[in-house]
Amino acid sequence: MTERLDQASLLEAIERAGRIIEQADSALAAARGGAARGQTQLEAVSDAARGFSGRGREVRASLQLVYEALERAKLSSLNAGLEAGRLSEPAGKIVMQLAGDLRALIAGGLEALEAHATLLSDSDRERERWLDGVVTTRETLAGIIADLGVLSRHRQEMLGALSSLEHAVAPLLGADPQTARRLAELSEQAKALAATVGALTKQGVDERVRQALAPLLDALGPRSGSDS
Amino acid sequence: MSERAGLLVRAGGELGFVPATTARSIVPLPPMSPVGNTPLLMTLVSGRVVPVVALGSPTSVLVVCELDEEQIGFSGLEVNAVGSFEATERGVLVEGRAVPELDLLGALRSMEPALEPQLGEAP
Repeated sequence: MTERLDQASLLEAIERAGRIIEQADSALAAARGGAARGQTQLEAVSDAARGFSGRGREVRASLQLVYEALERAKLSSLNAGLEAGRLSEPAGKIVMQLAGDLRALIAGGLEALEAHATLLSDSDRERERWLDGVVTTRETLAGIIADLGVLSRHRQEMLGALSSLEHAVAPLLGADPQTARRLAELSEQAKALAATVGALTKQGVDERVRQALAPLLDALGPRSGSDS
Repeated sequence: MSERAGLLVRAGGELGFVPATTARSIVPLPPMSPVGNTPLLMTLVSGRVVPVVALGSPTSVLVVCELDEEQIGFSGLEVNAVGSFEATERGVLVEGRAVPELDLLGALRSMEPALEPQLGEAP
């Protein structure tokens, strides 16, 4: 009787392992889906970064236009200063002063423009590093998807092995799988009952209860009825 | 204290003064053509052909001057400032430092031997 119960438990364990593998399969599918979505999102980020690169070139081109305009304005203010130098006092002094003020403003504009160009170069370098990171992450994600594929194949093999094991064990039970399953469930419940009885006995419950259940405990095996 | 108006320019690392009476205008450096077998260059400024004397490595501007009633362009000058400065015997004083007047006429004259026709060549 005990031997049959153990065999039934083995069958139940195989079925439980099968269910766990099925759950793992769902998790695997979810992981693959998540990884694929992650890849798509990374592609979108990568495309956006490339678009941003184009915008950077446009900004740089417009900065160059502003720079050239300011350089021309600087030359004009220098020429105004020269003309003022040829004028007699006091008109010459006033025009010279105006030209000087204008040059100071233009110099400020040119400095700000250079600061902008430096910031733009910094952000270009930052974007390149960012893109490198995206590429690395994409490669890592592709590796994870490949690993998940391998895992999926292993899962299939494991399911096949469990099925073979189930078929190998079933004849030993001498019963159909449905009966064996019921027997296994019964065995689990009886073991739980035995453990409870064992615990109660330790707490001082009447020995007669244990004696009444002794045949069942014996049938369940030598370790039944003990909570150790 | 008398003052002189003009340009402060840097030529080959040295600061020099060009009086406003000599300097006519500063223009963006135009395309220039060499004049065969001479150290001179030629360019167009406001539709006029102007000879150009190179005083150093090209910068972004050409300083157009009037020497002996002729317009001459000088390249290789970096314009630092324009204004009125305290006059000295040989130039101006800028922030307590003597800045000599550039001898542009001398630079032009030094090229004259190279411009003279040589034997066997068409004038």
